[in-house]
Amino acid sequence: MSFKKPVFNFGRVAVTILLVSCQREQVTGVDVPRKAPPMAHRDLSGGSFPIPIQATNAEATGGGEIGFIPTGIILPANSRYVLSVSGTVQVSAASVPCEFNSFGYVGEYGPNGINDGGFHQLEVSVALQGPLSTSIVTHPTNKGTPGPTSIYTDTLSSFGGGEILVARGGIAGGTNCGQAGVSYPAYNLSSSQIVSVVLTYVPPPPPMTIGASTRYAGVGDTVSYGAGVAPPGGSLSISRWRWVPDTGYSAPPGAIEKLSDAQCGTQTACNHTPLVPGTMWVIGAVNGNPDSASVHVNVVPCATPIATRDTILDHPLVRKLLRQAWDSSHYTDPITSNRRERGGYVWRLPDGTYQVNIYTASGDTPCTTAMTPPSPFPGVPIAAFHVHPFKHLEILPSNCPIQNRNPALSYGYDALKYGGPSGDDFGRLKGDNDYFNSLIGAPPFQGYVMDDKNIYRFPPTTTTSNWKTNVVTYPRNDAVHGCVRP
Amino acid sequence: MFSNLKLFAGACILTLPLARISAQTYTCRSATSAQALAMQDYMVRLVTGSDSASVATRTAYQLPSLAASKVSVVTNTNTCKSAGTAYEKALNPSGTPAVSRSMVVIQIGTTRYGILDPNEKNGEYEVNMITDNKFVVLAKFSS
Repeated sequence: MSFKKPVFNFGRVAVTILLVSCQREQVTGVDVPRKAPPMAHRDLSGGSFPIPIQATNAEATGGGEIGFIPTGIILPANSRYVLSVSGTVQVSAASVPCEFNSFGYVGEYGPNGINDGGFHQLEVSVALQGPLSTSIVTHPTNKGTPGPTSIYTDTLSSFGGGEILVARGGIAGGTNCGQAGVSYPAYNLSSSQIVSVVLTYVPPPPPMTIGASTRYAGVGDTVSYGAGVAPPGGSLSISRWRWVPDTGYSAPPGAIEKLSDAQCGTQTACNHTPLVPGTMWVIGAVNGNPDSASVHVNVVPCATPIATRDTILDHPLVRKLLRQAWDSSHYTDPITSNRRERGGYVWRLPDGTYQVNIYTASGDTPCTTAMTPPSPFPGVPIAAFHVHPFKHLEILPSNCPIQNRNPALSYGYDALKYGGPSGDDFGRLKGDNDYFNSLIGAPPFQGYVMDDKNIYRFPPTTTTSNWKTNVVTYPRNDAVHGCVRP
Repeated sequence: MFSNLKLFAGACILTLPLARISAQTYTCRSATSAQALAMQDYMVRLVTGSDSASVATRTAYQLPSLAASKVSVVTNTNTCKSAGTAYEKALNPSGTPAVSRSMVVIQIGTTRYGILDPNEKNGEYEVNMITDNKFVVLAKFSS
């Protein structure tokens, strides 16, 4: 791979982009963020309740009064609603009349009742019975227009939430009617009054959350999940856990899912041993509202040890594109001049996800690749990678560039001398680091080199003085774990 | 006067290529240079190794099996010049103008040399050579 000069030259880059744009190809993989499913629909209908009526306003009935009674209409905390009271009460002929016929209130009355010198007879009142207290939320007096057809409406907030209660005052039958043995007369009552509530806003309940002990697991590692509510305080109930494997992956031969999602039942914690990448879902309710949460876990067949876990190499997308780079190098082609060095970059996008690009150009050879990303860059580079499509001692083809090369000569590829990448491989990485740092201020990133035996990593801390000892080697055919990278 | 000028110009034309050729030099890097240490280390691993990869590589490069103490970095001027000449000759077609080189030369027992010019690249790879003790190239590899 040719060394990229770290010094940025606008003119040169502009020309390079212009020239390369016609020849460059790009293979891209994007880490698609997983979205939670839409929240279950919340019922905004409210409800209605017919206000009962007593048969008469006899003294024993308190003048036909209805004390506060529950309506069954439940208001969520901090919701907003339109409260309406409609319909009328009819006061009709007395079953026990006043002998002086001085009652004078036979008629039909709306929610405001009868304003009789400050006494609001047959007036409807509404209260909200919350978890800790009951409060009168409306008193129609001075709100609606008194009269037989008036309708009371108001827009209110429920604050702590609770149940709507409703009451209606009675109506006195009169006094000293002269009826023997009867203190009060009793007039007949009937009602078509209804209290109704239409919810106009219900705040979302605190969402269900899920956490995982790791986002990068090896096959058979136990991943611990916990469900919760954020912010805390909501009532959480779990109905089930569900593990959904990613498509396109298969478990290594003989691998067994020791802990399944099914055994987690309705617990708020779950342990699971994934075999392939996938998503763990927890399904339940918060404050009675159906909800769910999910977390994606990357599972790689050859995860690096936990203590030195390589979150880039262990990322399925990175491995997939590394594999594509390797496959597209034609490393098995017996005509070695047909092979091509392939490489690219792992980018971190603004939303935190990864994108991996392989950049090819018509001038690439079996021993070099330009690896030129187009501008603007898709994100911040966090790793560079390229492949060496040769086996140890395999003869390098004549189209590997060498100045003043004798076409009759041939050179063997030697992977033993440096035990992997050479000083020039590190030189290229350092040049890349300087290049992106000068352009976009990218911090030092690591480099991967892959041949048919191993994947080698230069950590970001590598320097020109420690590059050889700093290289980390991951065998591609891992005899210890019986699995293959990438 | 005029003919003398013509003669002088002709002499310049004739002597310039000769001057360029004779100006090239082959020197050896110090025994403590990173490139020399890396090459020496690799040659030691090849001649002493018993694993299958080392044995196969040793055979391919026609190296003997030796003790590590028999592998040393060469700084002798004449040996370096001979090694550089052989490296140059093996690398380039006949008639190619030679260039000066700062070499790594490793003596392997009494019969082999390992030679490298770290500035010579085949793509991103170094160009290494193994010769016999008469500087006949036996193997070339890129690392």
